[in-house]
Amino acid sequence: MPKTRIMAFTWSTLKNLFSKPATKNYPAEPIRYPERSRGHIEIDIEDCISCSMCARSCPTGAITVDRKELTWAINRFDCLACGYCVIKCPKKCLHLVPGYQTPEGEKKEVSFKRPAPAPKPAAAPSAAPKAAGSASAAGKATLNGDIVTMANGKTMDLSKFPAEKKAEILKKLGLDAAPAPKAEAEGKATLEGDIVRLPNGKTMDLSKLPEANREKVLQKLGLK
Amino acid sequence: MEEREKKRSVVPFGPQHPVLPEPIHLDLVLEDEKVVDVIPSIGFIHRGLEDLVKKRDFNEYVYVAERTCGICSFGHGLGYVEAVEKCMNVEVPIRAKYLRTIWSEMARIHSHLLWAGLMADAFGFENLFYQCWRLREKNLDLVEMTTGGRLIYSVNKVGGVLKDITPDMQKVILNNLSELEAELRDVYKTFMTDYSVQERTRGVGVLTKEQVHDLGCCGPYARASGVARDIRQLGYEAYGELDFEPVVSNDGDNYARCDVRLREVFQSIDLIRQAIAKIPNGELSVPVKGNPDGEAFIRIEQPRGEAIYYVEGNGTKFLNRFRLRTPTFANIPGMCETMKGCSYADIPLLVVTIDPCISCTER
Repeated sequence: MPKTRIMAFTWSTLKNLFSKPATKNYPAEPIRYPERSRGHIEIDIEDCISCSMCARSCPTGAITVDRKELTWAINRFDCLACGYCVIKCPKKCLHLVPGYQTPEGEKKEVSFKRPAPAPKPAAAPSAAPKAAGSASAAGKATLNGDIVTMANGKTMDLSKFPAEKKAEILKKLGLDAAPAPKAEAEGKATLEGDIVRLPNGKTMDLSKLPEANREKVLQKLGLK
Repeated sequence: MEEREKKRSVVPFGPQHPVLPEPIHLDLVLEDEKVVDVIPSIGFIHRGLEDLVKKRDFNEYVYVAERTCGICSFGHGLGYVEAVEKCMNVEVPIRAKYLRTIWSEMARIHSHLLWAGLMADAFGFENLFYQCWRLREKNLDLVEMTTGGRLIYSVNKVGGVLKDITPDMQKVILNNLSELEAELRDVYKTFMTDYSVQERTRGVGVLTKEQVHDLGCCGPYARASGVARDIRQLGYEAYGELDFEPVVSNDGDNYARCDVRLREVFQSIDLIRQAIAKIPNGELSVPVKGNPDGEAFIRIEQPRGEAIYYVEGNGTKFLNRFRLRTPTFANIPGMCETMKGCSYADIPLLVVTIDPCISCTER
């Protein structure tokens, strides 16, 4: 049977009565946040590339990225300050800093606009084949062997894709009609001893294959 | 028999009640002032979080799982992440395990002090309620210093943890916990020896050991009836390397439950001291490649009892299923059993002694 006391809490009560209150006198006394406090998201807008990884990763959908208008907007009231966008940003331009959102009358978005990127140089003229020269000037993609040069100057190596995907891409870019036979004529496999050099640049060592398969491969490549 | 039935009345308790931290509804069947039967119903705070796992990829879902509940939030993040790690066979670095253990115990301290305050409020001792919550503020300051948030920690990720506890922070933690412990002794003494507390809690809501086994109760609720079961003994995270015994009491009434939970706070402070003394150096996380495929099942000891986490992956970045069985769900039948035959004025206390966390119960 434990002890029973009538005034067990009296000493604590008297101590509390005559000591400093535990309540902080906010807003007269400003808040001191610890260093790691998760308050709100800030962005270095000059470094943003509008990839929208942050918008895709936000659990609440508080971030909106517009690639055409080059804006990055956040609804601070929806933001949880979880920090996932900070982890996902490839350019590390987002930061989670202390300071909670102050109360306001209605939810609204805060928008930032980044400076427009410098215009890219025109598609390299030496790479474009003569037949499609006019196409690149008009802003279309061009095909040279297995390399597609897009209107914005970027290149794509089609040999990395499987055959169906390759056909799909060519169709999408409008390159599937004429260049195909040209590619075949240009890209034939060549045989150097035991090494077969394929049109996509890859090499195959026939000595590693069994005898029966070697014949099949050479026949397939039209080298026999 | 008919006469007695005519005298019965059904009184609704909740979902809004001053003593409840979260909404639960009980239909109390009363005969005069004595409770004869209890019919619980839940569903007021169901948000469909388990379905959301199909729309948020498995890395992002940690932030959703944490926000299942404000009181047991670290445990939910930890359980989910551990289940996904088990599914993907990821081995977490040892320093991350120790850090997770330290944060887990800090979450336990905050939860038990919150409960102690609510219990004091339930029997009308508001002064003690505020004292408990003032102690809890010290704990929350430590948590904010190390993780950035007071209730939602957001430090777990699949593969490890995101932040470190530096040696300076460890010193501050040890200092502040010593102060907390000294003040907590006063509070513990008041809970255990004060006359008014004893009048309200001794002999009320008794559950025997056999009843606990039959009804499937878990956590401090079961340990107060003499069942020495603590899931931390399984040795998940760094608990295998720390030295502790489950805190048990044999009486099975509300008084024993107060005793068990407050003694667990002292045990948690001791565990944090052990972990900080032993914490090894190392990395904080390992990179995780690929998507979860298959099933995994994890049990952890939340402040309220044993929580079970089940994930099922199908090879894509969205999980197929995430299921969480919370300890409060297992304790509700026990609660209803204790209420039969008690007086109407004891109902709020009996609800608060299971430490109800209804937002985890219905995600």
